[in-house]
Amino acid sequence: VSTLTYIELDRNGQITSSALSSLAASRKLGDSIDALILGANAMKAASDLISSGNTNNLEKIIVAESPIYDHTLPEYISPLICELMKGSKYSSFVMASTEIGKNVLPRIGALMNTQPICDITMIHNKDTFERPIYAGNVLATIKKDGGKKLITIRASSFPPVVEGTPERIPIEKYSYTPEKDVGIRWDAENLVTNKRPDLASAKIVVSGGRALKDKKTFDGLLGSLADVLHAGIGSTRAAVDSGLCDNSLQVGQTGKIVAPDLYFAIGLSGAIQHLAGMKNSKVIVAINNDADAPIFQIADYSLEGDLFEVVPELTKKLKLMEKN
Amino acid sequence: MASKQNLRVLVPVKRVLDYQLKPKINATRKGIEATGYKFSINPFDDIAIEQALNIPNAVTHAVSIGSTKNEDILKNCLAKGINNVTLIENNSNIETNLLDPLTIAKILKKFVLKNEFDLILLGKQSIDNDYNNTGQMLAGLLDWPQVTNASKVEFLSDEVKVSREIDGGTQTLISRFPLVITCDLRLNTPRYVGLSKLMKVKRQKIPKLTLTENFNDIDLNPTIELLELNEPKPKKKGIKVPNVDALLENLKREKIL
Repeated sequence: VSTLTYIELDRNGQITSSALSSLAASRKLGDSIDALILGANAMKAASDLISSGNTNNLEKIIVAESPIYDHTLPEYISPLICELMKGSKYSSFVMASTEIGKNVLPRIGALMNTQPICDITMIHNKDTFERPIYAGNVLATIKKDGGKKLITIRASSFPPVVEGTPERIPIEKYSYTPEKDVGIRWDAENLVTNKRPDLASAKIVVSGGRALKDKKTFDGLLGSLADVLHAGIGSTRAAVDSGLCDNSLQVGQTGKIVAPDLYFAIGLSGAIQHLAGMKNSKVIVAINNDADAPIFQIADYSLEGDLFEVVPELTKKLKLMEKN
Repeated sequence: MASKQNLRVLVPVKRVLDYQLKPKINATRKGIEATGYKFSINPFDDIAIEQALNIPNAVTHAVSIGSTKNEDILKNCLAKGINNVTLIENNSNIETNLLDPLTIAKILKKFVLKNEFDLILLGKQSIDNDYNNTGQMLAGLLDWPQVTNASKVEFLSDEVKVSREIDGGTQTLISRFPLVITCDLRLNTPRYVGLSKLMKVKRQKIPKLTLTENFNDIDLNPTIELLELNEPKPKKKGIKVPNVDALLENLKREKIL
């Protein structure tokens, strides 16, 4: 028996940190691992993976090098993975519960007539897992006996594998072309460019809510603080809806789920749906002028005060600290 | 090929604990307290209903799987202007919420094949089990294209252009009919339905099918066993800091900065 692990690439063909989390989770299953890389840059990504040394337990890397996978359309990817899993030595398939994983894996499940095990945060043993439900307000322990397992893992719950010594890992080419027109095609992509660390993988996140009033204040106050902390910027749904920032910054049940080392919650009350996206952060600092804001109940450090005074002061003092 | 003038649209809807309520695990530790709690249409499904209502001249149909309590959300859909509704009553001995999403998708597939639809709109996920599975599975079982997390839907002459939310932005796809679309929050704001409209549909009879009679070829037994529900570990109580200096001191002392 063996595990097949999907290595997710970003748009530049680089291996994502959630892919390294998928490898970490796959190791916990205890079987040997084959990695799967798709896309026009798959071959280069495979040699990157080998030279990074993140290949412990890895038996081989399967590469399907074709641009048809570049936009990760499930109509192409799901049948390919289904083919690889069918009647093979693989007992499990693992990928991260990213936008791609959430889109692709259920379709694989349908094609294989197998209910997937989704968005797990813990592996108790080969058959027993934990997954959050009700936006993280409840944890469900679930078991799946027998049959092949299709698993998505929540990347923030599985620290990425760390770099080791490069080994010799065989690369195997694989190709699969759908028999007929899949009926859907990629048209365009509209990406928000920003130079800051990516919200999902930043070590420090600075998040602002509606109390930041307008876009200019949001960018100005949070931007300066994020710059000195080398932090990613996040926000609430309320802030997005009020036009303070782009929706790609939204943290919460319906946005991104993050778990950085340090999370600043600034001028946000802490609605249940926002908490679901950040409450697993290691240290939470809340700055708010409302002593009753629910965010103070989960904050490690609560500072009650006017953010328009506190944030500039904090930024200034952090700059001084950095200089010394 | 369907044109946007006469689209036949199906919207599967789920009844869930109201989004404003915090779930309380019940004594069996396999479910949550329901008595005395408000249940509503899953918010993402409400967005799918709104999208269906916004398609000019579409024939719209809402379907829900569950107990007769689900009649309420279906009546709500009728009051909003959905043309037809069906309750697929779960009269089996397995609780609806414990059915695998794959089983739900198989039931819906059978329903889809007995009727004819050009478009199926669903919420991107239910807010109770948080699976985010049913739409993708239904598309896979039917071998139809799928677009998940839609934030914009535009009907072209015989195709549909959909923007979906992805990490760091949006992706736009063009699909033929029939297809499955799952809806994200940003797609629209669902309308409120007034009391007078609700009163009008109050006595309307809801067409009903049952799982044990009409879907007896589908195996309902869950393949995922729920062992136990637990509350997340409470966080240790935080501390109040009086000012920025105290905050920085604490963060330095704990080696966080």
